[in-house]
Amino acid sequence: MKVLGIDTSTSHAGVGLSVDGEVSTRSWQSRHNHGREVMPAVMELLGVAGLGASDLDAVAVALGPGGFSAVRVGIATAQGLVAPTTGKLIGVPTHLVQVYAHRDTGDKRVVSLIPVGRKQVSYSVFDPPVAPSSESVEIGICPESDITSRFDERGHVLCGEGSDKEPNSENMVVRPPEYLLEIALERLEQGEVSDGFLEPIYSRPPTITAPKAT
Amino acid sequence: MGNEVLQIVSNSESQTEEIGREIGMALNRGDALLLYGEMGAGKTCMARGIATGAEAEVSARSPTFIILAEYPGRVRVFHCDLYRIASIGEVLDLALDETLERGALVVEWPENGEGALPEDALEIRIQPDHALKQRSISISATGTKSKSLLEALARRLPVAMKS
Repeated sequence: MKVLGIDTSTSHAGVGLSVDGEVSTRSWQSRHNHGREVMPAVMELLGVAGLGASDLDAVAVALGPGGFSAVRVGIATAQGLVAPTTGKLIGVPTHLVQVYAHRDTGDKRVVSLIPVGRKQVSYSVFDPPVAPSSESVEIGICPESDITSRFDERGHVLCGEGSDKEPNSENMVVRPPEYLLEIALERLEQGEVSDGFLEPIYSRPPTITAPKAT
Repeated sequence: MGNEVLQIVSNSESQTEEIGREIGMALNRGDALLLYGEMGAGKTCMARGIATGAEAEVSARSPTFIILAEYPGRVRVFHCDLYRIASIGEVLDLALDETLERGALVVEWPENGEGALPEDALEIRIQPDHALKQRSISISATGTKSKSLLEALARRLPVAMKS
């Protein structure tokens, strides 16, 4: 099974390739440049494996939340790679990719945090045990300053970008591409694939507005 | 073994890569290697040799913005280039310690990640001598795990360098 994973949700960008269980990944810090970076990273990954896009059984992509344009770059790239092939398309919420690294927290709930600007964070709460099919039990946005009172005091485990300042944070890598691939492989096996069109997940409406009528 | 330092001289790019290959052949999961040296010293060449020695297939030319690349092989190799890191927070977010649970870690420009790198590591310092067109390579260990790798290299490298 050959699956490509793309995660350009935030500045922590990454792509991964699983070929019959052998995983290769590339990660980088993008400074508002995902559009220029993601395809060279994908091409290099495929090139080393001697594969082309048409060899892929599926392309998985992180759906957000994250940067408005950054999320769309990943989704558009995944859709573009799959469109002319028979490959499947798999969309995974970015919060799920993030909490998937924290599957062994016992009976504690896991809270994924993603900064969304203006000193606010998008949060998503997951019940243990976290699995590829897990769904958030609570999702929303709140000021960064409210994280401690909202989650730390309830003994939840915090993870994700910006969580390192919190006492209950697990200091782990933010979103290794291999977790997106693990989730994708499980979903592919279960037949949980998209019909070819993916919607980005946003925590709030974009700040841009329609042009004013003159 | 004390504070032993292995000293090797490389006379060419291919010899630096060959030394890297010998290191890669001795590499095990959990090993961390920090490659020090100025621009053009031969760190990437050494890293390529290490990956080849670990039977990990690397590309001839990777995009320069990649910070962490993971290559499957006899030993999974995580190649980290911290040249373009803007803050220590970016290195902390990579949680490089965790890569050691799954493979071996090779870090270029470790100076940029001080405080966020594994404490037990093999330090490889490449010092070019432009007049003699040589590279002086010093290898030392900072902990128990890296010392056992250093001991393995002490057995391998002199033999490897005879040719």
